[in-house]
Amino acid sequence: MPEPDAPPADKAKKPPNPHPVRRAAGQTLMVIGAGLLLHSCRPACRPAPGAPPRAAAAAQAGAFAGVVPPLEPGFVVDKAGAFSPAEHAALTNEIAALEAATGGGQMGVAVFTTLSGVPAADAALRIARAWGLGRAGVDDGALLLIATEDREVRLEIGLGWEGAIPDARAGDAIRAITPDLKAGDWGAAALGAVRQVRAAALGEPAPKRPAPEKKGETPIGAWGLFSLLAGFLLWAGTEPDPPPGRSSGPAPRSAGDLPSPPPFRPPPRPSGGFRGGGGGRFGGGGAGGRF
Amino acid sequence: MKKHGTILLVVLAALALGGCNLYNGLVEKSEGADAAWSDINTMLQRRADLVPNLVSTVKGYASHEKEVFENVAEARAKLAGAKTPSEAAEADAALSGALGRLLAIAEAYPELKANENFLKLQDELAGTENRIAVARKDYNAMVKDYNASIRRLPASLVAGPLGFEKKDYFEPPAGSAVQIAPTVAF
Repeated sequence: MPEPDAPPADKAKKPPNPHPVRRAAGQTLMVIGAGLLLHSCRPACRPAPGAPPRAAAAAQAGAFAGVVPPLEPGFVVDKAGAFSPAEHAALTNEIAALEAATGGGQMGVAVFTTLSGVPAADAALRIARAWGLGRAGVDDGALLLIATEDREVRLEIGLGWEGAIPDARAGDAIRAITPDLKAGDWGAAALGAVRQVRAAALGEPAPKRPAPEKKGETPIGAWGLFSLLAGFLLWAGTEPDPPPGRSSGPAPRSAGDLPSPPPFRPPPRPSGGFRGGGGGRFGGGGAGGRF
Repeated sequence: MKKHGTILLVVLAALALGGCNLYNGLVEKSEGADAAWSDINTMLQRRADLVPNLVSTVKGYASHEKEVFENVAEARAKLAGAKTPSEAAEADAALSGALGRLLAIAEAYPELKANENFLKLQDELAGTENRIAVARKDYNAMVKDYNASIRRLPASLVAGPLGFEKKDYFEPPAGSAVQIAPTVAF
């Protein structure tokens, strides 16, 4: 930021200031000014917190070693390669449907091979807080964390959902998906967990079996509504902002947030740029255990 | 002369402004720590509220384990009487130990372990303990920040007279018999 500013100022000042003392004073002032500018801008110029950890996380593929990987569009971060492309797509659809049905609630799914000795509750809280799942102020977020080799699972519930999903209900959800976890059917387990959270958040009775009753129906309807809404927002958002130079600002940044693209990308989140979690807070509610 | 007066005025204004900033910063940190402390208290209370339910459920299956029930009741009463954060932390750790023994009993009673009410209570208890752990971490971090800032210059010169006192960590006092118990394993 200060780089582009400094050179023109330098050029502009030189010609009208031939006096050596004044020039020296001017230069000193400019150095101080640039320093101050640099200092004040430091937090903004610092690389996104997700950037350096990405390299570290990539070093030990599949393991969680205390470094939270960046959130991916679709809210499914599968470091263990547990989901097939179809499962991944079904899961992101179900998560989008949950968001639509609850009016903005966000649920994330994180899968690792091992948590490297970090207690599951700690890891889940750290990830959920880093991602900021749920809307700010409403705090309607949830996170499912699975460690496939550690055989540990944790369902973390955001502060705003603790009333609708008390720990006992979260425990019920975990118990409901435990058979799938035991069988190593990660896709069914995660899908079941999202459905459990959705039902609990909406105050519906817990879904008994992850039966594929109207599986194809709801997500498509929700998606239609979702993309319609998002399309409108996009349209309304771009209308009053015509300068072409500005539009290059946010788009590459959000694209840069994405880690290496997953093998299969579900229908892109309709929001134009991926904004990540909404800033929901977590206080340690939820349930978990070994399977 | 006039110039000196102006300089003095500017310096005084800067000092006053800096002082206000300092004071406001301390107030903010103190309030933050107090809010975090009330989070802990809420969770401690919630945990204490769960205990009678849990005890009566276990009693239904293992009524003869009187000593364990008494220990739990005693620890719970002590927690209710705790005043300072470190007293509360000590009592809380004692309650954790007593509850750990209570839940260990359950291992010997398969019907109890399968009891749905017991499972739910266990979830609530584990969740509450986890929340206490989270709130403790958040609170201690805030206290650390606050304590450091009242000891740092120039705040250290005015913190005492202005009534900013060092705050307790939520930790059992050093050398106390109980330490923070590991979370109860199910």
